[in-house]
Formats: sequence, structure tokens, C-alpha cells
Amino acid sequence: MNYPYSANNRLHEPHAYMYSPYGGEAFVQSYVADRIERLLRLSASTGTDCTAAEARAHAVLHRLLGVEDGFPISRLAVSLSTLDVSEEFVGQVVFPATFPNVEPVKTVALLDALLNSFLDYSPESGDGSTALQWLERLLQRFEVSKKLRARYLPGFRKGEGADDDVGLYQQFALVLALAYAHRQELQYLSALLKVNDLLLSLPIAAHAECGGGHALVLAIAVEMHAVRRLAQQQGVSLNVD
Amino acid sequence: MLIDVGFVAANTSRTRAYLAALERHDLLPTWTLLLDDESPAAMPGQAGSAVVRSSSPDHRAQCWSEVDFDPNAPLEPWIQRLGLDYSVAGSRNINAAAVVDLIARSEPSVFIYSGYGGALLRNDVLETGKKFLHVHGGYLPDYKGSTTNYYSLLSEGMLGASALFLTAEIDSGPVLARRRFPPPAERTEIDHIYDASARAHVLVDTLSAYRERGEWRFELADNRGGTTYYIIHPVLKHLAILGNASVS
Repeated sequence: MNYPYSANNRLHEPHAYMYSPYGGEAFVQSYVADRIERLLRLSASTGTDCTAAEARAHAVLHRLLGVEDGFPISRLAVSLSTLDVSEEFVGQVVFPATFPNVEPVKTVALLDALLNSFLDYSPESGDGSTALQWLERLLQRFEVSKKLRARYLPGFRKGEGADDDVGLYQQFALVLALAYAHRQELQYLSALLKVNDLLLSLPIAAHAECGGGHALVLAIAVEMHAVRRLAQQQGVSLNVD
Repeated sequence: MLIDVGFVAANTSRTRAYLAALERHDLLPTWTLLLDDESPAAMPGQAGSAVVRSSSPDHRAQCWSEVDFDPNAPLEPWIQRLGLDYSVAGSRNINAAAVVDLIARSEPSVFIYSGYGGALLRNDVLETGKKFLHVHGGYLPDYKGSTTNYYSLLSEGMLGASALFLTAEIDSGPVLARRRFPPPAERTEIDHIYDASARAHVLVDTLSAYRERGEWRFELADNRGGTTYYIIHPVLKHLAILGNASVS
């Protein structure tokens, strides 16, 4: 059985995921096989340099998901072993002054704020609840259109500018991975699966042009760890290792 | 027959679950508007080729009392057999000007709403002055949005359904009745059978209470808060279907 959700370029042909057909255990295994195959192909062409934020994300995810909890799955361990792990990076958290915004918001700036916020997330902090508010709004935009625009106008309903900046989707995937690792909320995992479908549907060259391949490796590792854990909780037999 | 209650009915499996339940409990509407046109194109919420029904122990469970219906029975002949007053909209779009006009000029002040998947009522419809009684497929306010029964199955081992009057904000209107349901025996039939039967069950509860009391009463007037979910990813949907977790 083929896994269809990354088979076509999802920037050109977004998938609505409505009333998806049932394919039994074979479908879930095809998802695992497809993810591993595409990610290993991508990893082979990704450079070894890793940003400080990615190294920090790696450290945070290891701490949250724990080696004892089986993170990462063994088939991705080699890909992750090439990533640096460091707790040194501390980024600025600068959200728009009001929610919703009264000025246009650059998506790259919002994603930077979200990433930096989730690297130091605490549910009790003001930054934490602001991050969740903005993540929810960005997630809603992505879920409605399956795209991320370069900018969002006041009110954060209408987007404008390019919708094919691969770097935005890579960063969004890492943000969703961190949010899920912190909060275990299924709407983040569902969106993460869709963003990863999109990213893995793109030609390898699209990733090489913008860097960020390591962010995607981390995001996939979190996703597959989460799916395996959920399968165990549901009593579903799933071979990911 | 219910006084002052109409039915806006899309050509979907959920409409058939509702119609079977309304017939079974003598809660038939005074006027029905079929949201359909001549187009052969499939719409969200239609069962497509006949859904395979398995004989299931659920048929004997009280909570699944509305599970017995044909998701593909032709609608117009059924409505005619029941002797119901009805019109065909000539459009599948609840927000089309002609449809809004038909609703605005109609007699009932409350409409049971069974629309096509993903269609949201816009201001023109909401401002006709009619109330739209919708049964959301999820337990409110915790599970707002789309495909929420798969999320609640994964999180809590249960399905839900909640009757509410529609407002401009999705799934946030006042709740008339809500109920939790155990996982069904055949989880592959959630989309077209069990989700629809859960909603039909709560619809019957709501309309029966209205008929008995002569007024609408709210179980949860303030339905703010909760989490909004979006169409569940197929991998998670499969885990929910394949899973065996249930509320202990």
C-alpha cells in the first residue's frame, strides 16, 4: 500500500484530508515506511551545519521526551546523532504588540517568537499563554488554507505575499513539534503530520535551497515518536523500529 | 408532528439518520427544505457507494438506539411517503441568496439543520431571524471544530454529541443537550453511521424535551472556551479506529 499524502507536491496540490478512506494497519505501516524512506533520502543531502536554535531544540526535545521514553525511534537515531545538542541558545521573544494584530505581521518574525518561546516554555508564564494564543491563530490559518503566507494583515485573517517559502513550513513544523512535546495536545500533532506531509512531498532541492533540513529531521522524529506512543496507548501494534 | 419546527436537509447520511429518528419518535417537521440540485457531483457527508453494515451488538444498546437507518435511502420518496410538506432548494449552498430567501419567507421559527460537511452559515442566514438547531458531533465545549469524535476517542475513549442553536462563532452557541457515547463496536463506520446516530440520539432528546415542555431549555447556556480541532490527520484517524481504549 502506498502512503498518498506526500506523493504529490502539496504546495501545488494541497490536500483537504476530508473523509479520508480507511486502509487498516497496512495504511499505518505504509506511513511509517514512507516517512523513513523520504527522511533518510533528505538527510543524506542535508549539510552538517546546524543552527544554534536547532541545537537547542534538540536538547529541549531530548529532555522532554527522554531517552528512556524511546526518543528518537531507532531508525532515526543516526540522522539525529549528526545534530548538535546544546542548551546555550536563548532567543528573543517578540510577539506583535496586540492580539490580534493591528499592524501587518511578518510570518517569519512570528515563527521566530514562537520557536524561542517554546524553547523556554512554561505554562505559568505570560509568554507561554501568549505563545499558545498566537500558535492557535497561525494553526487556524494553516488548517483553513494549508498554506503559510509571508505576511498577515491586521486581524490575522487575510494573508498576503508568497506562500511557498519552504523555510516557513520547516520552522512551523519545529514549533508544532515543540508545542506537542510540551503539551501533548492532539491538534498540534495532527497539524504537524500535515506540515510534514507537505515538506516531505517537496523535491529535495527545495530544502537544500533554504537550509533548515535539521529542523525537519527533529520535527519528524517527534512526530513518529508521538505516533508510536499513541499507538501503544491505543493497543495498536505498530512497527516503527 | 412538531409545531413550528422545520428541517433544512442536505443530501447526506446524517440527514437520513435524522429522518429515521424523527420518524421513529413522531417528531416530524412541519416543512422541509432539501438542499439539493441536479448535479451528480459528490458532496462532503455523502456515504457514496453503499456503506457495508455489519450486524452489531450496538443495535441492542440503548445509547445506540438510532443506529438503524439506511445511509443511502433516496430522500424525496421517503419524505413523500411520510406525507411531509417540502421544497427542493435547487442549490446545495445554504448561503445562496435564493435559499436564504426561501428560509426567510417560511413559517417555522426553528429549523433542524443538517448541512453538507464544512459548510458554515453566514450572516445572511443567521440574520433571517430563524433559530438553527444543529447537533455537533462532539462533547461541548471541550471538543469544538471538526472530526472531534476521533480526537475524543483517542483522548478519552468516548464519542459525544451536543445540540445547540447556531451563532456566528463556530460551535459556541448555547447548548440544549449533550451526551457522551461509548466507542462503537465497528469503528470503521463512525463517519457515516455512528457519528450520525449519536447526533440523531441527542436530536431526539432535545426535540422530545421541547415537545414536553413547550419551550427550549439550555443545559449549558455559556458555551465559551474549550479547544477547536481541525480535520484529523488520517494516521491519527486510523489509530482511533484501530484502537481499543475505552472509558473505564
